[in-house]
Amino acid sequence: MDKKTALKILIEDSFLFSPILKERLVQNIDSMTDDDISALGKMLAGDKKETLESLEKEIAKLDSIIDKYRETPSASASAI
Amino acid sequence: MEKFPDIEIDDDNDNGGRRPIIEVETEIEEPPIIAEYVLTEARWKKILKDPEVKKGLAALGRTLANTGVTIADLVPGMGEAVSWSADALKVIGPALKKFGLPNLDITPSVSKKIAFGTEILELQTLGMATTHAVEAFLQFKRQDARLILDALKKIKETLAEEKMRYEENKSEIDQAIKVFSDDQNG
Repeated sequence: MDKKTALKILIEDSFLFSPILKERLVQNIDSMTDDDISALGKMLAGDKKETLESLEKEIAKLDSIIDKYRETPSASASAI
Repeated sequence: MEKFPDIEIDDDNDNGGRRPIIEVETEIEEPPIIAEYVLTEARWKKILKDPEVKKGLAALGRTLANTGVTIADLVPGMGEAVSWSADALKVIGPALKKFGLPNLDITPSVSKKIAFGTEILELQTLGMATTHAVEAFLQFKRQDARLILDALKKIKETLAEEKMRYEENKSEIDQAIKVFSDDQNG
């Protein structure tokens, strides 16, 4: 896979950019310098990697907080 | 940023009268590695922009404020001042909103009748009763508990969506990550 294609995938999958910004960035990939592509690509790849590593833990943590929270009497009373 | 090098001339060298030994120390600061921090921060900022999450955070803030007022209310004298101030904000709050200021009422789901009614207990018990606890509990039960729970669910939902999106396009995302990881290592 070449860098431009890889960058396009990472931009489109990024959680950080709005759909409009994603579209603009993708449109401008061809006019980016190699350094720009590498810098943006490394940043997005690093973020994605880190996010994927912590995502499971974060979801599990939230699940346990939600479960514990539901068990508190006033929270359950308000949910009814 | 590169600093000018500190040049140290060693006059006591024993190199037989030749040119003095010059020790050059350079200090080049590493460019700040902010990408990871900024991106993680941006990710959470985006989650916190969600209106449901915002409401939940406001509810959490109210719960903490109400807990603080309830604890302060344990102290006779000072407690009343704090508890009455919180009640006063119920009256002033809507007026502040008209001037574009935030409504600082920390028990919006509790009626003025209950808020001021419970204060009678303060008078009867000479400030020993922690009457704000009643308002704090009602506020939490009627509104804030649900809002906090909704916000937690929303955050979880957002993270789960991100995970699902990755799983749907796992192979190409992994390949794209690899392209730039190899580039970094190479």
